[in-house]
Amino acid sequence: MAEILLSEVEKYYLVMGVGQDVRVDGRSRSDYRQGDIDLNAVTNSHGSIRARLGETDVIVATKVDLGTPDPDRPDRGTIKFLVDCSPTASPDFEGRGGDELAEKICRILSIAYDKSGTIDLKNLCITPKKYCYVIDVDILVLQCGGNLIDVISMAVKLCLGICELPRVTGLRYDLGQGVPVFSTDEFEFDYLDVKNSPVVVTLPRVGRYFVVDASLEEESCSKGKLAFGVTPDGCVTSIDKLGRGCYQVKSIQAATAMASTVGANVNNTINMRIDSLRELKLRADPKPLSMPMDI
Amino acid sequence: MEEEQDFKSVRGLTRSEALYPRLPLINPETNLRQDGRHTSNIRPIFLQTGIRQGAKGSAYIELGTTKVICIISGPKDLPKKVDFSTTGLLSVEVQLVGGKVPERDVTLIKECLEATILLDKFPKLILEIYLTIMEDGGSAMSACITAAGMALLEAGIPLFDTLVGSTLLYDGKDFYLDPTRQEIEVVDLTDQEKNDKGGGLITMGYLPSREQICLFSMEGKMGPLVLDSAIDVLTQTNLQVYSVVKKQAAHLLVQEEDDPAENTN
Repeated sequence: MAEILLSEVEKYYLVMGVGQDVRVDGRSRSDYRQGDIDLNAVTNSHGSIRARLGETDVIVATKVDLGTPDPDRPDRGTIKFLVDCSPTASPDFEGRGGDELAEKICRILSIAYDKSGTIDLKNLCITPKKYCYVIDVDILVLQCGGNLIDVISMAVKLCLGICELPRVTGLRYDLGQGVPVFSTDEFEFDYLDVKNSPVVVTLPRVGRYFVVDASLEEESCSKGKLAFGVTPDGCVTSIDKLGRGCYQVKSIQAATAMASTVGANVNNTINMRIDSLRELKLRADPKPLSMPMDI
Repeated sequence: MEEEQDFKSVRGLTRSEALYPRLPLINPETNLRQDGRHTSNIRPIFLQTGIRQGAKGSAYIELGTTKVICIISGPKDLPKKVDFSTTGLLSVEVQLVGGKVPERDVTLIKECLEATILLDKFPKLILEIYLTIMEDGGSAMSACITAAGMALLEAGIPLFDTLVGSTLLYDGKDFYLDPTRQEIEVVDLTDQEKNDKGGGLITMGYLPSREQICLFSMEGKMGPLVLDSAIDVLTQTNLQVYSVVKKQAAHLLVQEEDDPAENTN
């Protein structure tokens, strides 16, 4: 992510502040910045969310298609992620610079959604071995203001929560093969059950403490980060150690405890937001709708 | 809709499925794992250095059927296309024979090695580390870490500490150390019914004398308390691996003929 140049004095001030539990913007170590969610930011998709947390800004859109399941997992549908780090987000993302980060984020998301079993992909199957729903999740990073992975994971969860899966109304017989046909009624759809899906909490280590939702300046003062995927009941679904630091065993255990409590809170807030967004969708017109996200 | 006989998609048993069927993790007759180990036993380790003459550092490790070679070359001058750097650079390549190593694993190993090696000791130079996984019978990443650590010792590269790695599998009830590939495949984390108990696969790279973790990767679903005890168990396992590495390192100090050191636990 973008490199921030800080003087030695500024770094000292930041690190000492974190030690006193008062960060540069006044937050405590486990506080999030102010956030906003916009619904229906992209009108020609099955669901889209624009999420802002502090200066970080991402748009997530989903598209649902008919596809064939993976031959190794014939009774499950698939969710595919594609991250695009636009050069407008940060000068580092020009050319191929953003691709490495994009791949890393894709990988973290795939592990969170595929390998943890927290989303029942069997619900996405229409006919085993033949047809299933394929959900394409496209993520566009508009501005990188620190804590990118967390914001993306929150936005992805919100977007999958409001994603409308069209119901299958019948079969169209094409050369003897029956192909499922989706309903064209915009009120005939199902929602995906994302209640248990994880949210990523990245904890960079600043000085001797871990901080939640770091800004760009705080990230530049940290040597390494731990990214935890946390479910609403506090279970951890993935841990990625990013960066070059080494950790004592007790540090990782402390970070796990912090991520577990903070992540469970965030996840439950997101679940409540998904419920309120779903209600609004039934009544709202497709113009963009904005609401705060209090975490 | 009637099931049509689609001969193209009839899946018979593949050869590996017939030869190695999915057996449960614990054999009910013996109450041990399928290969006769206790849940807390790691497989016997075969570790040998000096396998490639002319290479600065080299190591070969076997963990059961998992076989990894590590070759170290350098430090050498930076090639023209690489930017100038005031600290040393590392180039890490990990290959799997007959497969592809995911980018995430390569990055994890590279960052782990960057944290272990004293890069300030060779500024403007690049150190090349080549890892080849000849066979992945489970716990390949930790085998790579231990092999790389051993090869670095032989190459005499300045390090913070020796590097060892190990893997742990959790199926919802017990911890299985140093899992084989069959055991990892049995714990299918995507199966929703199993999900209430959870499960997970954790790999840890450890610096024993400094008591620091330099590589940590976890996937699955585990509660925080279980995770804490898993980390403690893995730390102890890493100390077992360290005792093997120490024996082989002692061989390096005493300038004997190159006979392989066979270390069993």
